[in-house]
Amino acid sequence: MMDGRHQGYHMNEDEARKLVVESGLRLVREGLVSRTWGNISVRLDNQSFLITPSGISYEGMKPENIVRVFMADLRAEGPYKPSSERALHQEIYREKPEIRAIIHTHQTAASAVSAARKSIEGLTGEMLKVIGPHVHTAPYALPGTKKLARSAAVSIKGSNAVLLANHGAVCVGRNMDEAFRVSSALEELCAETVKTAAAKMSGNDQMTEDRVLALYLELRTGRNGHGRRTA
Amino acid sequence: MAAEQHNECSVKICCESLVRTGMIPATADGFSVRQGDCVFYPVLRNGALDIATLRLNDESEQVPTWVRRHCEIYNRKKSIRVLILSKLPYTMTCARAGASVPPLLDDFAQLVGVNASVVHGDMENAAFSGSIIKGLVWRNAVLIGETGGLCTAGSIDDALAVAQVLEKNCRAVVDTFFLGGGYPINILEAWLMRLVYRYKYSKKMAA
Repeated sequence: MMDGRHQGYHMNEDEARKLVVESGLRLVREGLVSRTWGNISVRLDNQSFLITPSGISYEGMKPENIVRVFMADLRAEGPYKPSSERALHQEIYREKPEIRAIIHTHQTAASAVSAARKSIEGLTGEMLKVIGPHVHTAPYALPGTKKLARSAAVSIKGSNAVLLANHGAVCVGRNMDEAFRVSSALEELCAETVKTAAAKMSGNDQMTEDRVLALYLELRTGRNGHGRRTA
Repeated sequence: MAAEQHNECSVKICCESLVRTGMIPATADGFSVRQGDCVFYPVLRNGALDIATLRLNDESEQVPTWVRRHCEIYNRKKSIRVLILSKLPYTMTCARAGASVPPLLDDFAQLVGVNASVVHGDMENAAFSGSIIKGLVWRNAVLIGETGGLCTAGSIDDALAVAQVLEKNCRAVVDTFFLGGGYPINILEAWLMRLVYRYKYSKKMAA
């Protein structure tokens, strides 16, 4: 959990820069991205947001590397190049005026499910509270393109998360902690969705990751995880 | 371009970390690093992990057969400096399933290539390294049937990234199987991403 002082709506630019750097490290620590992948942003005011730079590792990132980008024309301020996905952040901030933090992750379970290009509907309980009633998958588009930005903004309507087909996920919140909670819930939701589908296929409702792998192997090759042929 | 410098100590630290993550087994078999005309590889001495050095073309020394196969790969593909035989669970499952892995995720298309094929053979057989090298043409990883995913790169960090991305893509293959199947990235777009990544990367390394 981050310092509550950083979580409110009224932080100054220096605090917001520090928050983006800390959140980048948190992304790596929680296994949501590796290397320089993914990106993170905080809305500064109605005209601009702060976003992670392109090509700098999260471990080596400093507050002065964070780039201010203007909503109107995507113009960047300062010497560093902003993330190539800045248009995606811009479109989502425009679509959802209430949100102040966006994280774009390459988290494993969500990325895997994104390749099925399916939506997850009818969320209930804690998932409904944290994510919303559904998670849609934005149609496939090349990374960094306007097409991807637009389709993500359309697909995230009514939810705090969207899967980007064959790419990853975007999670949003009224503050950074909320966006991270969404990301963690999304990962759990995607893993559970696969286990439920595998359970339906096998008739065994006690699905673990190991059982999912063994079932896959059995259905693909007629052998179990130990290489023995099944009946 | 200056190559990453390694010694027994740095390779050992990396080796221990790979064992901890479960990417390689406790014996650390399947991980090697080339430094000039030498290859560092792990050995167990009195039950403890240690690093041995072998001259690339020294045929006289008794070494495990997998080390010999690695030397053959290093000899034939000069750009490769690190080899990791990943034993991560989804990679192992896809290697066992025996079907080529399509590009379901764009970071796979960039780092690994337009697919990862599966090669079958006997590590004891010298000719097998030829099949592996064929599977690595324009690609940074190849699945070895029943054995794992052989990940290659010019540095340890990059080889690790290849192994992680391969595992994630293999997870996508398995998970989408239960969700009605995955949609691979269009082959032309996958090639394009691969070329752009390699071009940008080579420029970054040259800088």
